[in-house]
Amino acid sequence: MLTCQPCNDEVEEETANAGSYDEFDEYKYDEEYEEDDENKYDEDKDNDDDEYIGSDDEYISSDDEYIGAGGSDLDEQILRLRRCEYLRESEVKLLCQKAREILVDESNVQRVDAPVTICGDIHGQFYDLVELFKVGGECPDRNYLFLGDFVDRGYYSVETFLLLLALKVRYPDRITLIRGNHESRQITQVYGFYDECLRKYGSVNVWRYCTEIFDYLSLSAIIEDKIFCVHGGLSPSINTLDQIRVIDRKQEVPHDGAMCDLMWSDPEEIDGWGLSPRGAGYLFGGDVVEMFNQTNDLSLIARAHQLVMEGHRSMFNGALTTVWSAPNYCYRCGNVAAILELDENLGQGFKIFEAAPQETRGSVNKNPSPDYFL
Amino acid sequence: MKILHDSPAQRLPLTCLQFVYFYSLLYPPLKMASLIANEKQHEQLLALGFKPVYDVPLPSPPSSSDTKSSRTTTNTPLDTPLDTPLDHSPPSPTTLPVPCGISFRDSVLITSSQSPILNHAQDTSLTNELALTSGLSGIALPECTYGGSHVSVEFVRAGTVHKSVSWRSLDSIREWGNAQRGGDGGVKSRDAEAWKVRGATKGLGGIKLEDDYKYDWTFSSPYVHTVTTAKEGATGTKEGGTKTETATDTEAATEAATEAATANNDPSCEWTRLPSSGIKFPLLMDQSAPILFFSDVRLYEDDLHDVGDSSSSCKVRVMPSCLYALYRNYVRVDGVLLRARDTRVFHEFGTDKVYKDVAWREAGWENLGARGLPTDVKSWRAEHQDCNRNIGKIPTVNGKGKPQIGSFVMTL
Repeated sequence: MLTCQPCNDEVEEETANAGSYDEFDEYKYDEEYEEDDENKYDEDKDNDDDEYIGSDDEYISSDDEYIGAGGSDLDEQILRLRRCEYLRESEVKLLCQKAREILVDESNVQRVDAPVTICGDIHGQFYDLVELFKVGGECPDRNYLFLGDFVDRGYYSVETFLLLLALKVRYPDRITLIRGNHESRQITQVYGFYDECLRKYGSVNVWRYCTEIFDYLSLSAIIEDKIFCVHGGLSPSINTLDQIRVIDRKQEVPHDGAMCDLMWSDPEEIDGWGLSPRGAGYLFGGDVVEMFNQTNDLSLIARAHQLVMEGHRSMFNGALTTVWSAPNYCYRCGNVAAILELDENLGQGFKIFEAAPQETRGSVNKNPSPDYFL
Repeated sequence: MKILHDSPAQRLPLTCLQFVYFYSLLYPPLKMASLIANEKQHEQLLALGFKPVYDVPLPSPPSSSDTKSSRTTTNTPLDTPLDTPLDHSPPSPTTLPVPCGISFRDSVLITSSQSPILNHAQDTSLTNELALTSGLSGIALPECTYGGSHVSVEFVRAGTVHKSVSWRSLDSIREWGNAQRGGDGGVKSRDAEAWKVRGATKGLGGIKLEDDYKYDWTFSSPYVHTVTTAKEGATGTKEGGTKTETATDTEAATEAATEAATANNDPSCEWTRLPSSGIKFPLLMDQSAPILFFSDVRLYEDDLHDVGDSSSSCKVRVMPSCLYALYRNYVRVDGVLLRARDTRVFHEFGTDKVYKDVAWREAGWENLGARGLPTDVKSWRAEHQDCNRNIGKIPTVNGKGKPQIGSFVMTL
């Protein structure tokens, strides 16, 4: 249903952006990128003569180091990603290795300092993410916290996730990524990310690298000990933040249990806990939120996970807020997106934005091609 | 299949127009301008008896036509009155928007509109309305309810809408709501039992766990269409009854349908049952006839929390000789069942008959393999997008007790 099959336009656009690459044209792709590489190395030679030692081959073999070293290549990759050009498979592999080293040290309840901007679901809407940075300020000028669901449904899950991941590796203290229910092997196979990787790379290796990284993403964040941030919501198995801290998160999102609930549950105007009408996942009421906030000395729960036409919605007298950052979700819902800006005193302000024109250009929100349906 | 039929379309050189139309539909915003970029193409379209209809004011020449307002369908209230005066302002030769509809000889008007989802206030108001009508609280509407979305076919006499058949998002939701009275919640997802057990056994220590919601969370709507009829002798602005037809299990409904099958004098019982379909499928399969207008509108959709899909949508296409619409409520609960509830409506221009076929299909997941149908979720997700390949192989539901299922005709 909420599926976004790329239309012809969009595929054309993507290939244009990617330097005329598509899966049937791999040879050409390699060639072009090798050209790029040479240029890049030349530049590197000019700029960083001191650091550059040895032949091109050796340079490549020491990729790992140069990413860590200062990131001129990483900066170049970020520039490319910002243009919605995806990275080579080998670059993705190295980026993921580096990201893993950073993410593995993060807590299940990652500490984040204010001021910070909280962002909800993105769902592969790359140009809208660029718009988000335009509206909220660029990273690292601003400190960002993304609440998960980077991939699936939109056309540019690869570029979206890789850009966020590259920013994370480049500026680990200025951007925090936590896991959403779509950062999962099972869900991405059904809702688009898997197919997109296959289409863009001709193999599923990139999907593998990325889903391995998903397992390392933190489960939640806490801002200045006062604001708890999570993708879905609370769990009946969890009363204290310490109970989250002891979860072994390095695994596929399980089908039940606390880790699953954090990514899947929804607030609802009920008392106590409810089973979702769909029979999977929990609903939690205002009293549950009040109790949780009291127990953990919190002032607010910020979460994402649910589409909101207005971009954000406050519930339970302001004890919980939903933030949604994918405008015109699936290219047809017509909703606006929001980001929640917290100042150093945790004062809240929402910024609202609409879909980027580029995103709409490749969208299906127009007359579809006519067909002789029966 | 090549069908010969006596239509003006067959005698006109359409190649150029056809190309431009197809091209413009594929790449509308910029290219649509070329649709009627020159007078000749416009005249060809007019020669066929068709005029495009626009939902935004056209850039009109700065004199007499200033006072004319074009028919607006996108930003009107949710239940758009059908008696808005028809206006087919001549399109300007420059940068035209995409038409939202097309009219044939001022006697048939086909329009469509795709709206955004409901905002919070609209959502709350509809939820409250449904709570009143269905007597149920705690109903969650489909995540994406495109409240103003519709496809409508209006038959016009003397400048006013005489009869209309339409598909409207909110009517579809309301019919879903009506069907909830006394419901038991219906389908359970594959994991429902496991979750219930988990809730009971994990000792959630005094935590109250509400039982399953007593309503159909798959949004399987019995909606067929919305029909309106102008009252006899009405002077043009007043309308007769609006009626949404649904298939219900109640005896009263069965009786009403029996009546409908026999009595066609009663203006509220428009449809007469036919022994077999009156839709001219060979005509619809003639791919040499250009599609002059096409629209695929989503009325509502919900991903059922990633355990399936539910959607109501309506497609319409207009050819030189006829129009054809397919409304479909498609429900997929992964590993549990598939449902497709279809209404097909057909009208040949120049005739006074409208035909419809209503068919419901349903299959338990465990029966798919035996019927040679795919059993993996992915195939059925694609199916939903490609529309027809396998859905037609799902067995139909017996029409017994569901009086709206079958083939019907309405005389204009």
